[in-house]
Formats: sequence, structure tokens, C-alpha cells
Amino acid sequence: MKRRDFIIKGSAAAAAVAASDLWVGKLLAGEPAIMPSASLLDTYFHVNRTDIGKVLSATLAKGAEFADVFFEYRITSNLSFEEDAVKSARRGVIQGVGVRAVKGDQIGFAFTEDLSLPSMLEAAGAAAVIASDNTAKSRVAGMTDSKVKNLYPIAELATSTDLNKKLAFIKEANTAAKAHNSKIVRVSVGFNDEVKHVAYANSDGVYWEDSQPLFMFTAFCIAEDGKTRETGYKGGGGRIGMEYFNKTKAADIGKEAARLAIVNLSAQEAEAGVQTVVLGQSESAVLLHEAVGHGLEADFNYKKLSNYSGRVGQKVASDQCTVVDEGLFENMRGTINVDDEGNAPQSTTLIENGVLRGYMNDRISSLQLGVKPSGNGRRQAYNHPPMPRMTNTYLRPGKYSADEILKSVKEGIYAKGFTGGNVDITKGDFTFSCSECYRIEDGKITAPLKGVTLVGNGPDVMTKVAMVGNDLKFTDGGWTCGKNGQMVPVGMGTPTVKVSEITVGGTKVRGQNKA
Amino acid sequence: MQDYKNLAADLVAALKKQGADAADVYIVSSTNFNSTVRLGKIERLQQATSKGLGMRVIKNGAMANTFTTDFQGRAVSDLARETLEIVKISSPDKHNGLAPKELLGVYDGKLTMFDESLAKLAPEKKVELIRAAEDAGLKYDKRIKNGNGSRWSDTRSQVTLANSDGFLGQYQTTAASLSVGLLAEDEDGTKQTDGWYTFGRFFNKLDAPEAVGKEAGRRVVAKLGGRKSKSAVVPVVVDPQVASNLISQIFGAASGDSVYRRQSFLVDKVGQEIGSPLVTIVDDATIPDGVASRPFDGEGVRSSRVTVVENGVLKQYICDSYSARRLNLKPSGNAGRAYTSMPFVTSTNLYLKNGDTSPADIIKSVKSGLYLSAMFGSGMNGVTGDFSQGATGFWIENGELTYPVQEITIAGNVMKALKNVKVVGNDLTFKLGAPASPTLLIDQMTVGGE
Repeated sequence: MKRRDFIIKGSAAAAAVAASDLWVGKLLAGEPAIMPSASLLDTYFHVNRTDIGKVLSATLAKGAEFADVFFEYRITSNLSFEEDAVKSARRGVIQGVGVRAVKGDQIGFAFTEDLSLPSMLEAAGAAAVIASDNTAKSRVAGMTDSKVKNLYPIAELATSTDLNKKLAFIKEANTAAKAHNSKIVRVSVGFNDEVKHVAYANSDGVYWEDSQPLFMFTAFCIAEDGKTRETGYKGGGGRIGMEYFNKTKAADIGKEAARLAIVNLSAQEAEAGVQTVVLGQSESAVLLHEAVGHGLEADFNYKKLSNYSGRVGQKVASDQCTVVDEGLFENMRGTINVDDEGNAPQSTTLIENGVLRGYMNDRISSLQLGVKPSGNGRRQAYNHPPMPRMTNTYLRPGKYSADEILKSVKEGIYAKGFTGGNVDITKGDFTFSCSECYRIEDGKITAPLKGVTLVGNGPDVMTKVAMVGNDLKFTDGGWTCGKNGQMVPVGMGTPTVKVSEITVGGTKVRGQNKA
Repeated sequence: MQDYKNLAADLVAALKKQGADAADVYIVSSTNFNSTVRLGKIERLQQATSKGLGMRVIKNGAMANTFTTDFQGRAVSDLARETLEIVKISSPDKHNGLAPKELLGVYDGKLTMFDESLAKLAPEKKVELIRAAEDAGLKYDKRIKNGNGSRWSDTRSQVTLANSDGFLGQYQTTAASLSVGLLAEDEDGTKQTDGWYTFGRFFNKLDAPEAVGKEAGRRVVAKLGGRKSKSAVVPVVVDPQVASNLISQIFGAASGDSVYRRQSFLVDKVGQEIGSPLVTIVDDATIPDGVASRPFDGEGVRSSRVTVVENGVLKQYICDSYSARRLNLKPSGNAGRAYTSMPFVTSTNLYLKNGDTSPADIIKSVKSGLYLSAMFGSGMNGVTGDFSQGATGFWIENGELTYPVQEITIAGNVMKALKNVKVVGNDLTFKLGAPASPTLLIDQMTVGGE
């Protein structure tokens, strides 16, 4: 049985999470042009605060210590363009409320799409049974509104943008991809965006609202040369509006997907076994996400399931490694104004100069470990309870230039683009898979190699980080992280890094015939 | 559970009335329960009812779909109007449309999909089952020191589909699973985790909780002492769970969606040998008590049995109605659907047919090689069939499993692997769900280690 946490780029699963809405501005009465200013309870949920108080009380009725409700109204849509035409147009509304009762680290959870008081009370009754006392032990405090600082300021909400404007960007990417090379035989472009309106209340009296925009613009190409067929993919976006295209040209996204497909046409088979690997800036942060990130989510640690359990203060990586999780970067995909339990996001140093400093916490894990919540309590949607999750995870820059790092390698692999990764957090064994990699010969990047998977053990590989570059770069909004069946958007970043030894999943073996 | 047949049929009629040339409505409603127990204590108890409605319209050759979880009259009628607005944006495509009328219908053989006893099982009883399973696992060996969470999950769901060619169908299914997750520790403190599960539509066909727990225990203890192996090209004995993943890749490449997009290593390969003559792959939605059986597909096409690969030869592509029109083929009853999506090609009870060798005899036949227990990661390229993934397993020496192998890679090509199938096991079972495969011996795969 596989118990692995993972990350993936773009793809169907990610698209399902990050869908979008093209027409809502025009079609849904009352949908504001930028972001709503009136209470979301009135605009979307048609629920009043007295009823929320009743639901929270009912959730505490059997003796739970804490209760919360999470209302969600998510407008999603997707426009897909293939063979020079709009292939499909989709739009949807997902609404629901999740009700949670907490006793120690025990959770009773229920949800309903029906926001009538009887339905919500029924859900509260189902959640309440995690506690089995006859009377309530806690009471619901008076509700106070929390002010949420807006980390996703946007000029033009994609969900309210005229369709023709979006189509123009799509066509720009499509044309650029096709023009890149005559071997490009197929191009698909997708525009996916969503806005997720959330209202939250808990029995401590905390109440907040947030409207979370998210979009992903993707291009996918197939190249053929008569013998082989290969693919290239590029996506970008974030919690940002249409002004994204002021800085990033849609054409460049199309062109990049085409370039990758063409590069892969001439890719050679890689050798299997231990090699020196230079990880390019930005996407190589998949390494951090898998080797370090998941293992430092506190739920695994208070349960002593992680290979990092009980190791705060110990050396777990080379001196050059300082790893941070920070949900505060404006408009970034993993950024949150508030976590899904009402805690503010922050900058959490996980590893400092190789020494483990702390974990990422949600409410339950922070109480179990006796630390403050770190603003990492996140949930996929109303129908899932929160747990500790990453936001934007990155490696702080070091002193070397990318050039110096490459020149230091006589023979090895330069890995630049990735499709995803995963990890067994207990043993710490992780994998991550390249979509763009090259051979390094005498300090120079040479032939492209077929996509390979790199495998290693988290703490072991982190001690083999031999050089950290000075060129930190974050990914451009295409990544989705999966844990216990829940998907959340994340950001990540890294400078160029040299790992002295890592196992490469090639198809060739020295001194043996290939398969 | 509420009957949504009227809602679906009325909505189709309303969409037609508002100008749709064709329309369908797909509604899924379910009740779900799950609970996680760790070290005997309930960690999570979850109960919910859930629902969603998707509608699709075709107008002037263009198609659009919308969905909602809000079933109130106004929300649904607003959305219907919007769907007919949205479709104006979409491009006309002569291949769009509902499934051919003559294929619409409900499979007329007997299918058992619903277990009343499962639907009636009390939550307390379910928690008891988890505790019994976890307890058996924790007691299996003294090196098992922690639990990773053991879980019961069950769902009862109802699918309703109506379209403007007069199809109106509905069915109900039940499903349940019980899993055990354990953690074991070496003398040197190295931790390993593993687990086991049982899955099915019928309560009385699930494995006993104690058996699930013991198997989880056996598996996690077997992983203790795991290390890398040498890099080598070797014969590989492929565990049924890994083999079923390979079968999925073949199915994906044979699906009409991938083929018309040329996103497949099986483009132009029908009638050709793509695997060893020992390989026959079938997708059968009509197995009487199958884990994925259903009377009709996501477009209302009557279910059937489809042979994908016969004795190594690719027999046909698997299509929903859109890809069938693109490829000039017939839909095979393999349209999947979610209320949030358009139809797409999907498998049902997909399996590789049994051979006649026992897994033990397969292992005995290998002088030096790998028993492949699991593959991880996203390193699977559906267009070329190339794969490179992380793996765990056991090293085989002189026909016996020796030490556990971890932190290695396995790489190759799916089609080459299928051609290199030398022996097919006799251990096919749907107890872990579908797709399913017996154990396979594949001649040459590249292991990346030290």
C-alpha cells in the first residue's frame, strides 16, 4: 500500500483544483468586478450569524473542546483550446460548509452542500459524536471579526474578464508554439481560474472572510520527427489577475512548451546509478518539498511518524542549507491571507544553516507540541478538515554563481524541469521526476537526456548539498501538493544547487546491455 | 436517498426548450462515512451526504458544460440559462454530440452492485472493525512500534443520467475499504512504514480485519533492513499491484482520447503485436459482482465486455462517443463521467488474464533479479511509454527473496516491458480493486541503485 505525499505540476489533477470562471462577471447577478466588499455571508451563503452560533453550539453539545465551520462558495471555470478552436467551455459553482468538532487531537467532521439550518444542524450532530459526554463542556464565544491583510491585490480579476480578452492570450500562445518549429504537430492551451469565497467561524469567537483568486495558464505541445513523438508543457499563474500578462507574455508560455518538446525529441538515454546532479534554479525546489517539507509538517512529528521527529536542534542538512516556508509573498500560488483555521501566515524557518529549527503547524499539532500555530493549517475545500501543509517553501540563496557550480562538475547531470515528486515521510525516501535534463561534461551542459527520476533519502541527500547558488527563483504558479487525499496549491523556489551524490533512474547501465 | 430522476429529466427538457440541440444531465449523490483509528484511539470520525449536478449542452455543433452542488430550483435554472450562454463561446465541432441512439441502454444481465448490509452497518461496528484490524497488526511483531492510522471508509452512491434522446437511467452502488497502516523500527532506529487493505462492494466479501492487520504487519516487518541494490539490467518479478499500474498505462494509451490527440505510444498500432503472446487484457463492465461493474456508462451507452489486447495483439481503441467519431469507431461503453466534467474514456473492471504459474514458482525461476513491490513518482510518459520511477522491492537470489531493496529506480518502456513478459501468474484477484493483474515476470528492466 502506498502512503506517500506528493507534488505535481499542472496536469489534470491540478486543473481540477484550480479551475476558473470566464463568464461569471457577466452572467452572475451581483458578482463584483474586482472583489466583494459586502459580507460574504449575505452575498453567497445567505446564512446569519445567529444560526452560525447555533451550529457551533450543537457541534460542542457532546463535550468537544473546540468547533469550527468553514463556508465555501467557489466559482470555477476552464477554457480549453485545441486544434485552433475552443474545444470546451466549462463553469461551475461548488458551495458547501464543513463542520468540525475537536477534542484533543480527535476530530469529528461532517459537511453538507445544503446550507439550510436543519442540514447544518444535522452535520453538527454528526461531527459532535467524536465526544461522548452528555453535556457541553465548552461554550461558543461572542463573534469578533478578524481583519485580514490582503496579500493578493489584483487589478483585474480573471473571473470577471471578458472572454475575448482571454481568447486573445490563448491564441497568442497557440500561434507562438506552432511557429516555434515545424515539428510541433499539436498544441493545447488552457485558461483555468477560480475565485473561492470563504467565511469561517469558530467557538473561540473568531470570524473571518477571504476571497481567494487563483489561475493557471497552460500550454502543452507534441513534437514529432517521423521516428519519435515527445511532449513539452509550461504553465504559469498564481493568486493574481489578468495583469499577470503585463510581465509574462502568453506567447512565451506557448514557445517554452514547444521548445521543451523539441529538446526532448533528441534526448538520449541516461545512465542508471549514483551521479553528481546540479539542480537548476526554481523548479528543483521539488527536492525541498519532498526531502524536507513534508517530513516537517507537524502532524507527522507529534505522532512520531516522520524521520525528522524529535530532531529539532539537530543537524539535518549541510551548513549551506536554510529552508523557509513563507505564505506571505504577494500574488504567489501558495500564499494565503489567513490559514483555514484563522491563523495568519508567517515566515517559518524550518532549517537554518543545516540545523532543524521547527515544524509547520496547524491548531491541533501546535497544541500537541506546545508551540504557536504557524499559519499552516490548510484544507482543500469545505469537505475536508484542515491539516499542516506547506505554503511557499524555498531555499535561501548561497554564495556561488550558477556558472561556478556547473564548472565544478566534471561528469554529471543538470536537471532543470520537473513533473513532480513524492515521499515516504517515515523513512524519508523520496523521488522526483525530471522533464528537462542534460548531461554535464567537463563543466559544460551537453546532450539532453530522457526524463529521469531521481531518488534519495531526505536527511541523507540534504547533507550532500555541496554548493548553493546565489540565484534564488520561485516557480511560476503551476504546482499542486497532495497529502492524505487533499490537494492544495503551493509555491516554491530554490537557487541552483549541487548535490554530490544522488541515484538517477536511467535505462543504461555501465558494462551491461541496455534493456 | 433522494431520487433525482425527475430533476434530471425535467432539466434536460428545460435545456431543450431554451434552445439546446442536445443535452444531458448527470447527478451523483452519496452518503459517506470514514473513520481513522491510531493506536486504538479514534483520530477522526466523518459522516456526510454529498451531491453534485452537471449539465452539458450541444448547440450549433458547439459544446459546454456547467455544474453545481446547489440543487435549489433557482440556482439550477440560473445555471441552465448560463450554460446556453457559455456554449456560444465554444467552437463548433462536427464530432460533438450525444452517444449514438442505438447504443443507449441498460445492460440486461444481472449486476449486483448494492449491499444492503453494508448500508446498514452501524458506525460503532465499523470502529470495532478498525480496532480489531489495527490491533492484529500491532501484535504481529514486537518491532512494530507505532501506527500510521488505520481506516474504515464506506460510501453509498447513486448515479442518475438523462439525455435528450430519451435515455433515463439510474443505479446505486456501495463500496467499503478497511486499511491498516503500521510503522516498524530496526535495532538501529531506522523506521519503515507499510500497510494493507481490503476493498469491495459487499461487506461479506471483505477480508477479515485480523487478516488485513496481519498482512500489514508481515509487509512492514519484511521491509526492515532495506538497502540499495547495485545498478543492473535484470529480470523483474512484478507484484500484482505494480502490474495493474502497467495495465492502466496500456489502457490509457489505447484510449480514443489519447489516440486522436496522438498523445499515445499506441497510435497506428491496432492489429499489431504490442506485447508478449501471453498477454490478454480485458475491460469488462458486466462482471456480475465486479468491483467496477455498471449497467451503462457516463453517456448512457449500454455496458459490455471489451478485449483490449489478445495474445499480445492490440485489438481496438477504447472510445467514448467523441473520440469514436474522431477515429471513425464505435463507442465501447467506456465513457467516464463526473458531475464536474465532460465525458472521458475510462476503464471499469480492467484486468490482465490469468496465466497458470503460481507466484512462488515465478520467484523460484529467477536466478538473480528484483521482486518489484511498488513504484512511485510522476516519471511515466504516456506519449512515449518511457518510464523512470522510484521503487521498492526485494532482491531475488537463486529463486529466493533475500534482502529488501529501497531507494532505487526502475526504468524502461511500457511497451517493451509488455513484450518482455515471460510468465503470467495465476493470482488474479479484484480484492484490491480494479484494474487488476496477476504477478508477471518481465525479462529485462533497468534497476538504478549504487
